[in-house]
Amino acid sequence: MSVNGAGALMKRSYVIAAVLLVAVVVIAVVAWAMLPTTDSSKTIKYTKVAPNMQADGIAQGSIAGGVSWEPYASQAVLSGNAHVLYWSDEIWPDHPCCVIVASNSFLASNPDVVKSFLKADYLANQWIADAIAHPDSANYTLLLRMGAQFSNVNNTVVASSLEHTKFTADLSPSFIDGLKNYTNDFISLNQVTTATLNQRGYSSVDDFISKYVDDSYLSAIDSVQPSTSGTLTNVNVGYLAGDLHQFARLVATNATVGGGTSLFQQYGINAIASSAGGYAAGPSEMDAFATGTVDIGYLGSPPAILKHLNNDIGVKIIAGANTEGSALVVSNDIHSFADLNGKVIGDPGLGSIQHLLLQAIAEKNGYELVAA
Amino acid sequence: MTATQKPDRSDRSFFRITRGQASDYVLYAISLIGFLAVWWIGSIVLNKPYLPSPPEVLDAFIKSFDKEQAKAIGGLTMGPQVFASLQRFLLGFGLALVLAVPLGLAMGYSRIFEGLGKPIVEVLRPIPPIAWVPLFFVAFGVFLGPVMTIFLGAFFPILSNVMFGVKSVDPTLMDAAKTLGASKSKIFTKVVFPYTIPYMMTGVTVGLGIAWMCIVAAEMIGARGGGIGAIINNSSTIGLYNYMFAGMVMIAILGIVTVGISKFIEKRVSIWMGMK
Repeated sequence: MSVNGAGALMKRSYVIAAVLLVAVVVIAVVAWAMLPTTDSSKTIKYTKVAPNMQADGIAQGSIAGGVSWEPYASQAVLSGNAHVLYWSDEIWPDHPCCVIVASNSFLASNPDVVKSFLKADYLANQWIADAIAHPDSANYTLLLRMGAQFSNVNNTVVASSLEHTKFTADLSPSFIDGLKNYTNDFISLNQVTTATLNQRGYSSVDDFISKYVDDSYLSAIDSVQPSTSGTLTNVNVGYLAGDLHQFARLVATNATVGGGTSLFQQYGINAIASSAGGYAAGPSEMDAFATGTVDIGYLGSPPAILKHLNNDIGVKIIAGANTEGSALVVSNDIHSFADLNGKVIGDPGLGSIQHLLLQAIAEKNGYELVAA
Repeated sequence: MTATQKPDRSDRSFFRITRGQASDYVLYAISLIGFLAVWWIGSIVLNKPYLPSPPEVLDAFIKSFDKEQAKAIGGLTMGPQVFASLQRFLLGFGLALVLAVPLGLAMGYSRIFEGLGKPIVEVLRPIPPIAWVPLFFVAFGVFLGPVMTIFLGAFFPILSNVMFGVKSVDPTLMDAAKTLGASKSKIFTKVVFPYTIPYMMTGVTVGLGIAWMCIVAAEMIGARGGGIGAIINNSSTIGLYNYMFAGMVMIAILGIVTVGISKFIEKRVSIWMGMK
């Protein structure tokens, strides 16, 4: 190759480089121009932000608000940077939230252990109710301390959370109706199809909920007595990270509450956390059920419904955990829902009760919820 | 063929299908049909939600372009997500190209630049670009974070290849240029740079593949503004695996198209350069 030849090639390479550059610029401009512009006059945007990160996100201005479970709604408010625009019970009064789910294989092989588990959970809920009713008691202080340690917040935040969450294992008719509503919501969003419902052996939403919710174990706990054998059965327990809706699990594992032995242990259960620190969200806990990592778990009812139907995960809802206790918290410069126009709200992700809540709030106000 | 010879413009061999190529295409078709058949049979035999059949994925792929149907995956319609991913891709890749080529030339040509740059490159190169994603999100934000991940993924393959290209310049060409009285800068622009173009194109092809891996991973971790990775993430979160596969199919298509374009350019450049 001579120098002149190299020069000729050089010219050609300039041409190639110029053509490539023009092509890249044209594609980039076209791509930019073709990005859909949503109607900003009636649009709310969502993005996935873990509940424990939402208060920081609001303070830093990366999100205008967040929908989270307690204690993180209270944490955002008490940080001084945010306030509640809607509590979840303003949208869905007394709505079901977290539930206790058990794998079908565990239910079949350990029915008595499941009843004992629910008995301990039930007693823990009673203990919580008693502690809340006596805010001057040592038990109330212990309750606050437990919650604060678990969720990495202060006692004031936990106390506020307790005011906005109802702890109950009951599977009342209104609880059941709420589960049906979530299923219908998923169907209207195309996230579950009636074909999938039928494929799993359910003829309708009513039929699905009547079969998916099994209250027989909860109904039988009256006759369950503390274990006398002294042997403990290992139970892999799933729960969500920092979620105080699942306070009963926390209380039932605490030795001080049981006078030296935890309620779970008193009923013959060695509760082993299936994931250190808990799962980030309900869908990942359901995936853990699918892999056999969890025997009994606390999680939001919407992901329990959605993932069971879509992924055929063999579990049943055997008890409630709480009702209410979620909120849309917004930055202090937001005074009405209209101020959120075109702004970004954080939520724990698709399939969560908080995402459904944000969807419902947007619809109630005549706004479209779109991805940020 | 020497570089001084004019390339044969009437040569259409690139587009002409020879008998050997035809048999290759038959083999490609058999391979793809076989792959689809195994996938389909696998989905029937396993009968698990996580492995939808090809028709189910095709159905989801078509539905994903419809705004109403895409509500199922959080309103992430495929068209805008493809553009969102392409935007990041072009920005990140363009940046990598603009920075890696001159740096590669400098490091290949100058001992000082090589000495200064090589240790840093060798330290950073083994770190998977994905490992940087969380940091990039914090440092550069939700849009530029994924762009920087793509940049990093494409940067090193291009840099290494350009460097290698410069080092591979035939010494006799350099000597000839020197003998003809070419200055150092002339040698660099008239001999070294043209010589490295085919190597650069190889780096581009390798970088493209890595860049697609990076963009999807970054979008799955949490890009704002959607993207195909966000479709995959949303779909898997709620267990709609047919949509998840539809997103994967789209990445495969985009990957094949971009690498195909790059290989086409590489081949044309090689022909022009007299390498083939």
